Amino acid sequence: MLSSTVVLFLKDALPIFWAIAILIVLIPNWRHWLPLGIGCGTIVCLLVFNNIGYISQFADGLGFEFLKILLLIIGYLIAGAFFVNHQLRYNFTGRLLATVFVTCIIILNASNLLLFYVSFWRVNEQSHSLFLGLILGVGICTSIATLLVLLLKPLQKVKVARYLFLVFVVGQFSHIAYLLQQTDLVTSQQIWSSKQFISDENEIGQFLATLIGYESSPTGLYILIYLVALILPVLLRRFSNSTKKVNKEPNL
Amino acid sequence: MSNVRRKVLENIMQKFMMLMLLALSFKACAIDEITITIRNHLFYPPEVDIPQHKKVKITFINLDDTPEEIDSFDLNREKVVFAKSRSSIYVGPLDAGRYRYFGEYHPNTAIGFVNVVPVEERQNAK
Repeated sequence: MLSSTVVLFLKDALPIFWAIAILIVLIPNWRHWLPLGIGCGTIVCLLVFNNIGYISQFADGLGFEFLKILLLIIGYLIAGAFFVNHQLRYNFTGRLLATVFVTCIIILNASNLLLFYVSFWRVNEQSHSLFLGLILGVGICTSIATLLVLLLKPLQKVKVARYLFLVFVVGQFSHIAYLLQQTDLVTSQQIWSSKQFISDENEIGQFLATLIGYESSPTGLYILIYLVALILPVLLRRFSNSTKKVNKEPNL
Repeated sequence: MSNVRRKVLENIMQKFMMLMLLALSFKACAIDEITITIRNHLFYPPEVDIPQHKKVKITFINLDDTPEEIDSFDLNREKVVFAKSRSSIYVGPLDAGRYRYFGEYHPNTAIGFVNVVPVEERQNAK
């Protein structure tokens, strides 16, 4: 039970810690907004959890998948906005969007974790292992997030943080492909398998899956969504930069 | 609008509707359904056979008092099945092979396999 609790914690909670760490580096003085984001995320997550039965039965049993898709789209749009608009991180809207992003990522990832904890706590099944797993999980996730902040913050690696954030969100967003496939909305076949090199099941695979959306056996749709979601903000940024240069030229 | 035009348009509409109905009925008929029961954190049956290159609906019925999260790295699927309820996922089309799935909340006991077999082999086994 202890090992599965820790593994589950790393899978579901690490994306939250990772996102918060990158946003701390990316957005100046956002740290003061962090409690608001965590608070909102926790409250909405609890609301979702309280109504999870109703949500999951909604739309012929696909309600939870649709909610996840919606949150992933919102998260991606926010990340895209941060990547394309460099100035966004300095103003109030930027801080607000970062807080909304944290709320979304908490609902997305913490609801499964909450379900696991509450269900097993209720039946009093090895509660000491659950508690120990919680401490270990929080410890590991906090260490990784702190390490990332310490690596990036003093060096003012905002550009690195911006790309890290985009790749992380694209990795999360691409899971829309599997949500659509498992609900029979689209069909797509596996393209390749790199399981013999890095399997999704081992620690490195899990870590890469969280950070960059690594999949050892991706489907065509997954690759398509990943590439489009990654390339689109880069192109939009280039386009917006070139437009700004053109607008500045007459003044010179 | 002349009568001839109206008739042509009606004819096209009728044919389109028939095609749509045909496509929908084909889709409804084409998907096989398999049911797997979760009891005492174990899958029954632990192994299921599905045809190669075909989409299949797998319904999980959880009889336990705790939820279970079905997870499969091989199938790229993840779905929570609440206590005393049922949930479905669609898998495929897949190449022949053995695909592992497990219950994330009980990974040591809740383990199952989806065997994707060529259609002829499946018919022979039946």
